[in-house]
Amino acid sequence: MEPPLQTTLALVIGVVTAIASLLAISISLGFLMRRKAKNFEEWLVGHRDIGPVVTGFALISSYLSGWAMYGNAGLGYTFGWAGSWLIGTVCIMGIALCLVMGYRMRRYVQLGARTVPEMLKVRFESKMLQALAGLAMIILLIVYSVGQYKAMATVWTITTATPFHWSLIITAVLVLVYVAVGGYAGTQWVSCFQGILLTAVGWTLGIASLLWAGGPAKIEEMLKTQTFTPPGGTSTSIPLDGYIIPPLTTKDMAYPWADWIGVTASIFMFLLMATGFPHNIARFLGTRKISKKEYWAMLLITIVGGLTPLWIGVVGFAGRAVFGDKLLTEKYKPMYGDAVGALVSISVGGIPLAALFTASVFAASVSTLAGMALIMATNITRDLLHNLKPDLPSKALLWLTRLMLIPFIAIPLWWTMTATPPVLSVFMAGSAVAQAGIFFFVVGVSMYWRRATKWGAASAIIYGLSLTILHPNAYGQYVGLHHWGFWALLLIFGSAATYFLISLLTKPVPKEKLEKLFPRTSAV
Amino acid sequence: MRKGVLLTVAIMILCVLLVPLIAYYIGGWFAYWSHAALAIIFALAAVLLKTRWYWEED
Repeated sequence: MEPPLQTTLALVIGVVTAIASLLAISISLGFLMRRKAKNFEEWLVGHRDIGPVVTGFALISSYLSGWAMYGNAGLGYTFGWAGSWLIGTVCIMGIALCLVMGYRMRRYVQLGARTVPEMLKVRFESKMLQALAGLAMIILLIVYSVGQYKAMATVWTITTATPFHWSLIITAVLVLVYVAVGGYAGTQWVSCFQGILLTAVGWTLGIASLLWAGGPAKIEEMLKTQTFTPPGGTSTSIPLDGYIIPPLTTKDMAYPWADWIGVTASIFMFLLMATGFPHNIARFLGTRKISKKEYWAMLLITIVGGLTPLWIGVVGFAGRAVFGDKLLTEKYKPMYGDAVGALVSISVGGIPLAALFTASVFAASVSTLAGMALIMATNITRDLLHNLKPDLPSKALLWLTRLMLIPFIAIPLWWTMTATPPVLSVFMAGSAVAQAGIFFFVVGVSMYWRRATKWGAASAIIYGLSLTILHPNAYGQYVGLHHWGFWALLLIFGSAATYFLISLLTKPVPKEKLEKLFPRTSAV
Repeated sequence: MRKGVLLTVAIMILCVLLVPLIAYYIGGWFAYWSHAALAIIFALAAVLLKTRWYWEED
């Protein structure tokens, strides 16, 4: 079957209406909350009265980025079952760890922290560490944002026939408007609304595409007839019926599914990355005290929402079963297999589902980009400038943060325009490994391990960033590091080893200073 | 350490170990959805650990 490339006026109207409605609701919610934010502090953490339902769905929304909500279909389509190692079939494990560990962020908010790096300043009484963490976050989040742009622009291009580069510019403008009006409290409530939407649309499209392609058995049968074709390349003889795609060249080793070492590394990445993502753990900054019962409710929300990425993966399998490898040809450059999500949504549900899915991808990408741009902007104002000049007025910081959103929206936009990644999720996984390896320990573990020191945390950040540059597709290939699995394990466990060893070898934080961070009532 | 804690942690470790094993030995849809089931069991165990044995009051 040929992919439905013909764009109709009705489809364009449907897509524009769905996105406009989504933006109107989001901006209205953001505007409402903005009016309530009286100063910079409130703008960052709201009123610290966010309950379990909003926190749960907001966490799901920030987790369901362009990767999970759109890129997963591209993974399933391009790599078959092997793509599941980045689709994140085990992502609920990592989200649960974030849920369990992230709640302690509240303690640091009570002690004055308003951002994740500020939490580190409070924990280690170190402005140096706060600035270093802020800088590391900026570097890693810029890379992560590139994939969000590709997701948004691809779905916009497929549904409206707008040239890819113009789609990028249009979405950047929308993100700027959205985030400038919202703020943290705005995005927390907006994220909750979007989390519900993403979950509903993801499940609906996944189940509908399963039926559309003839059912699970038919899809499995069709996948067995397919062979691996790299985006823009020629078809190989490697069948897509297994969870491993054996490498034919050194370049093919730069993927998790090259062997079981890569697979192991991807499992560890998913275990740690939800906690390591600053935009995820920041969701707990505005949370109120939650009871045990509410904790279980929050888990239920994250389980239902956490299954959404798997349904999007199903869309990719269904697309491959029906379309074959047509999307991997030059005709679909630079979108390639990432185009499958939008094309299947048009085929499966016509204009209504395609419009809803497009709005959902916008929501996923916009809310994640919004959260990231906000974190990066506050990294500059709060973690660097305010650090250097503590007497800067609160109002000036607020406006400066808004101004800083412009470069942090423009830099990844430029990157996506000039060097579009062929498979967005594979590209984003590079940044995800680094965020998992660095911040799971530096932020997550430090909230629970009394013996952690600022030197241990700083060394882990520096080590992690150095290894990030050595990604097999970046500079790793020049030093013989071609294997994704080895690279990811070296980054994750190397950061952990550095963090623990250097902490144990350096002077511990004095007991009297730890008292307020680890009160005796605490069971851990 | 309490027996319940050890058992829960053991279940969590088993959930992680089973993921690649099921993909290798069974594969296909079964592996795909069983990974999700294992992840849910892991998540339930993690929250059980926190709410039952490591609950913290502010």
